[in-house]
Amino acid sequence: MAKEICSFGHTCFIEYLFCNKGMSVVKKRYILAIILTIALVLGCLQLAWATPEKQDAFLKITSDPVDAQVYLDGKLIHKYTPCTIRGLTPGAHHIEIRKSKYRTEKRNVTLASGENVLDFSLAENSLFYMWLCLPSLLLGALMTLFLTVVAEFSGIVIGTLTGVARVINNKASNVIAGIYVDFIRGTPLLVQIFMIHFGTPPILGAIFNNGQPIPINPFVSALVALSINSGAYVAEIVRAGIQSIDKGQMEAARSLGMTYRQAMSHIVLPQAIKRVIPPLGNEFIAMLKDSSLVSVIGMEELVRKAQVIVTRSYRPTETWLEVGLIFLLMTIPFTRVVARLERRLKIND
Amino acid sequence: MIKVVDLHKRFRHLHVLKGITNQIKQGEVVCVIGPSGSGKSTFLRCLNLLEKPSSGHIYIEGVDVSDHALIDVNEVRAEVGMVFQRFNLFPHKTALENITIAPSKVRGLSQTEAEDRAYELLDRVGLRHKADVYPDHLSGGQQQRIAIARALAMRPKVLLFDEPTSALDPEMIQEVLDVMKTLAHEGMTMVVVTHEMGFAREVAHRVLFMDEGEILEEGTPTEVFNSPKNDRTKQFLSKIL
Repeated sequence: MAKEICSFGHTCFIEYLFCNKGMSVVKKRYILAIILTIALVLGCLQLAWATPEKQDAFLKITSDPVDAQVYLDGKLIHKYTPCTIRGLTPGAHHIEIRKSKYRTEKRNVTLASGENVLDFSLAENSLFYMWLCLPSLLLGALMTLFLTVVAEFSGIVIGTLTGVARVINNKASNVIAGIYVDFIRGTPLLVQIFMIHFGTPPILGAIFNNGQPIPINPFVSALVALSINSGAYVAEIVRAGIQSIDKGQMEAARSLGMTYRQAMSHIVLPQAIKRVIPPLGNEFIAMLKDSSLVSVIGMEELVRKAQVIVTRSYRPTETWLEVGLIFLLMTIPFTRVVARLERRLKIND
Repeated sequence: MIKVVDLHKRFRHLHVLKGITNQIKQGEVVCVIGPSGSGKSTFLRCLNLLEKPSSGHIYIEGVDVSDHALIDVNEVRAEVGMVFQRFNLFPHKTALENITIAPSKVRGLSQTEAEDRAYELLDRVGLRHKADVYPDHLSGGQQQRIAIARALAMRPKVLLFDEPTSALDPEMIQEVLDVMKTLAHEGMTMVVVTHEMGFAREVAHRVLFMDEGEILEEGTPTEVFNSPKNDRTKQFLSKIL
């Protein structure tokens, strides 16, 4: 049996290992067993060691916008996005991305060994965001200003004619002007805008286009609606201005043989204009603010621009605050001018 | 010159003038006196066509002017000047412009013609140095003198005065009355509603006493002031004098 075993050859290896040719078979077997056991244990250990083998993690960071500074676990590492950080221990980490004019972005991450990818999207800080919105909003403000100036100008023309039509000695013109003024002052501007923008195309179509509605350009309907609206308010201002002039002025002029028209244009109106200028300034300021309503028909003025920006940026707070500030910047100078005019005209009165 | 026949004026339910009949001759100075609310001013305003008569007739130089629709109101008014209690100067025009505007706009005078006429009138009322001053910078008396000059600039045939001194401070009354006296002596036809009995006594050819829309008494100043016949006249004069 022993010979048979010896014949396997490994006994000879043991003999060779121990330099002992005439080893007993039993001894050889013990030694073999020990060796096998050691090998087994080593093998097991080897397996146990190999599975959780300590391996590095690396992290790829990208950001929009690029060139943000990276803080790893509270410490600045001098790398700018996009970058790859190598030699990290896997596990929990704290990543902070900083860029001037942008809001700092912080994230707790658990890194796995090997490749990790993080993508940051940085939001502008409030001031920088408002600065970025400014060109678009200013363009809108310019449109607001333009709408207001044009509407107020045609409003003054319409309003002066209507205001005079309300005070002159002519029943028909009194009634027509009265209905116009009452209708406009008694209905919301928003409704007037809808009436003109959505209400008139079918009528125009019925007359000029075989019943096919003729759509109106928002710019045109905005201007028409604002002018008609402003005209009614200016008419009231003009009427009040004319009526505030002492009746004796008209009588004195008439007693000298002037016609009603002469007395009106040379005596009453020049005096009324002075009294009308300050309230007209106030009407202008009101119109500047009310013109925001034409945003509902898609007129790209200040408010509409802001709405568009907010739907894209989801940042209503700063956007509307900025819109408010822009309106304020437009109205304050006018308020000042009106106040100064009021004072100056009072001195000359 | 002016003939008034059975003139009535009603404001809704208020019967202000109850049948005035009178005649004013060329060059005559007529003073109208009476308590307030007696219709003196309304009478005057009817003569200037500022009020439409409800009924009755007013003839100015033979033309019936009671129906305003049938006549050129402005043409008539140009011949009938009016001076108001509250002056009613145009505050946005200088004294000179106040005087020139009507002649140039209504009479079609050139600017220089109108200004020559205005300076002449300013001399007459003694205010040439105030030609370029705005009414607000003039005293009440000065304003009224400018107002008289303004009315005169149209060279009217009649001048109507509606209590011309009632809104004036006492010390300014005389300067206005002096101008009016000069006008009267120059032969201007004048109808003056006034409370200045001294002026009426001195200047008027005829005095009308009005109360409750009627002329209750008329006559020379001596007659009316010294021996009034009507009881209301006596009562009124006793309060005033």
